[in-house]
Amino acid sequence: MAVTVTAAPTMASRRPWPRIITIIVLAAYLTLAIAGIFVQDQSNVADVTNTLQQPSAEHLLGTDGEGRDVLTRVAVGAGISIMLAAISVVLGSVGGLIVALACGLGARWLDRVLMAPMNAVLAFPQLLLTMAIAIALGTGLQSAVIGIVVTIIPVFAVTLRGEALRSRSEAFVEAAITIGLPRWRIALRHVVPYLGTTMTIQVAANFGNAVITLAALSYIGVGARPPTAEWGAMINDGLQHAVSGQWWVGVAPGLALLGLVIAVNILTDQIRARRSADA
Amino acid sequence: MTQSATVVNVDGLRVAYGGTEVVHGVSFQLRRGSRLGVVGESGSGKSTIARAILGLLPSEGRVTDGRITLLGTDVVQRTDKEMNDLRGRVVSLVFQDPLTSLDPVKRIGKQIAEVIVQHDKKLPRPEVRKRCVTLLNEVGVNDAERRLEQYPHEISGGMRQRVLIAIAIANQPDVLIADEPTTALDVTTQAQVLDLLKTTADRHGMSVILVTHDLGVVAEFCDEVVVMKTGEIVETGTARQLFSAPREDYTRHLLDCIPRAGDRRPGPEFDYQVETEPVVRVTGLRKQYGRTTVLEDVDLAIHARETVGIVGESGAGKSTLARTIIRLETPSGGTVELAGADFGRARSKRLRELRRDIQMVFQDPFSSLDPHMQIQDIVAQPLIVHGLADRAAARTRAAAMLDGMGLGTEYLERVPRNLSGGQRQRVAIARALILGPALTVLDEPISALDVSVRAQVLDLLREEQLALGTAYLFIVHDLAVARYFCDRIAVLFEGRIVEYGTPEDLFENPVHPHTKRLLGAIPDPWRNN
Repeated sequence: MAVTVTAAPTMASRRPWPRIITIIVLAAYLTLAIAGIFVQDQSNVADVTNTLQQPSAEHLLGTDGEGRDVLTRVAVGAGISIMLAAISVVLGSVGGLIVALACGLGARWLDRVLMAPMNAVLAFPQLLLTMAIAIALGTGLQSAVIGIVVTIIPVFAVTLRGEALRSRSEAFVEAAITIGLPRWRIALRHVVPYLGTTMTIQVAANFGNAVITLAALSYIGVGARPPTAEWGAMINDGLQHAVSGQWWVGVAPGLALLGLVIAVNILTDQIRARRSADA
Repeated sequence: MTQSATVVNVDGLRVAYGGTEVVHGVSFQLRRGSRLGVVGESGSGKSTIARAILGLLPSEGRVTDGRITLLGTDVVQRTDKEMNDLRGRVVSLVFQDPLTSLDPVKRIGKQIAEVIVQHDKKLPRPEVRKRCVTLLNEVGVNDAERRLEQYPHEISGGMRQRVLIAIAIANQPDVLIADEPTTALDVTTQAQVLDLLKTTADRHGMSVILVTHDLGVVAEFCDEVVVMKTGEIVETGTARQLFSAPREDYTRHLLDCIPRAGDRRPGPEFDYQVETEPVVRVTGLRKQYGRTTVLEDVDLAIHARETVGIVGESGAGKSTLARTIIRLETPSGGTVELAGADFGRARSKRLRELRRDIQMVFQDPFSSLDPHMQIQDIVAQPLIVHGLADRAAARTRAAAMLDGMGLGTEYLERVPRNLSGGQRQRVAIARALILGPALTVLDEPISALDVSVRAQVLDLLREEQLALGTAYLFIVHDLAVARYFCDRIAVLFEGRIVEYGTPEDLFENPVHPHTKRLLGAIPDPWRNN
């Protein structure tokens, strides 16, 4: 139909500041994480003569109960959180994508067989199930990551499956069928790029989620074990000192966690807004 | 012309979206009781003007200069609230798409009642209901009492458009603005809706502005016409003058793009005296969805270099026929033979191999090309898939093919969004024809395109057919185009072919009543003018 389409400037281009600020904040976290790699050795150096020092010029964020520099540990923790969340999301999204393609483009029985366990996993509260898996596998960061991946896969699988099903009625996918392209090549060449937008948004959203879950698991003691400088474990450690007035031990990693998750969530919203403005 | 005779006066109107001006100083008047057509292709600014008159520009849109007066009062300066009061009572709008402009979760009756109550809040309930029934009767909706209780999805497209008109005229506005009111409808329904608009406007003394890309519709409906191009007026005049003696080249060009009776595509006629084996033979084809039969007992034989047209109203099964023959749908019964092979029942690898000989051009070039692929790869892909060339050789052949279609090397690395509709459809045609298929199914290949490029695309299709010898199965709702382009035409009605013959047979001596009805509904710009 000859619809009159008049080009309107995209909304996203109107106010660049929120995006710039978000990107600066995220870049700062990355810098912090990279700095953390260089000071990793010092993150566990106890100094019994310097315990629970207030923030000062020497220790910008003070020291904890064993005299370790809190800023150093927050930096190392940034690296751990970002790295492990990224690994979880990459594994979870790739796993989810494969399931989604098989369900959305494959035979109907395959769809039913694969979606049943996906829905079963989704029926549990995500955090609870992650916890259960981590406990069952034995505490540790590796178990935590496996737990997160297992619960993230169905999230990706379900959202991407819907899109994959929708792609089947797109004319360019039908055109690919009439050309004689085998199904798996249609999936890789045409459907995967089609899923790109949804995928990007889901990756960003689940990244923030993974950071929190990881910290939560460590906080209750099923994730990172002391003395690992993981934010959740540090918050837990800081709790005992907060009662006696040494608030900085727990507040510093807490704020670091909060800041990262908020920045990632804002970025997610911005991506989403931009994509819907494009469409 | 006295002041009171002018109901809408647009004077030096400029509209901008963001910083981009899209309407550059447009002036015209609508006289009381007249019907004005605003015609133009996409990007001409015609819909923007309609929206500006209604005060309904999108949020980025702004009137930067000029005046719009409605019954002597200025529109541009009014607040939304003041405009709300005017809309419906003084001026109202009939939208293009009757499916999306009605609220799917509200009953028809409620949607009409809302408009009535909006401007007369004290009206008692039974009275409102009575008005609704009267309105539906007036727009020719039968069984009005029952319709009030129905939801939009329960009634047909034509019926929905009637309901929209009922809503638009509910408060007897002085001016009715119709934005492509019939574009989503098929020919026979279009004729009925235009007729309805005309009689209702006459009866209530309403003036109408009809925004459309379709000159045929203008000819049927309007007494004055404004022709627009890229935000400017090209020509203004009476419909009679415009069709008989257009002053501007652009107008003449638009008129030339409409096939007239007696026009015939270039190249020799298909010789039915010579007995040849058809490339595709469809026998007893049937397609069912559940218990609904969409196609029944369809027989077709298509020869090399022949173009067989399939015409019919929407819902007749045209697209299903195309999709079943191309095997996007599996036939429920009957056979599709492709050069002797059983294409209708072939499976997996065999099916994919056979697809080389039967290709398709889709209706909408905006959705049929993968937005993530470069033009050269889109056209090269079929060659690679069938192992006929490696990537480099396929790209070279694609480039040559595209060049022959007027798309030079500068287009090869572009993605579809950077091409116009006509250019995209060329790419789609190149993709279908690069394999040199025995049959190409054309599913409304020009109906999504602007009027001025339709003729070019048809010419291109014909040239390629003469060069490659492919047969066409041409699904088309526009009978004038079918007559211009096809060797034989099959009329599809309720899933069956009710008439099959050469354009001459069909247009001169239609036999089936449905064919007669279809032919009677074609708008012909030169019949009245």
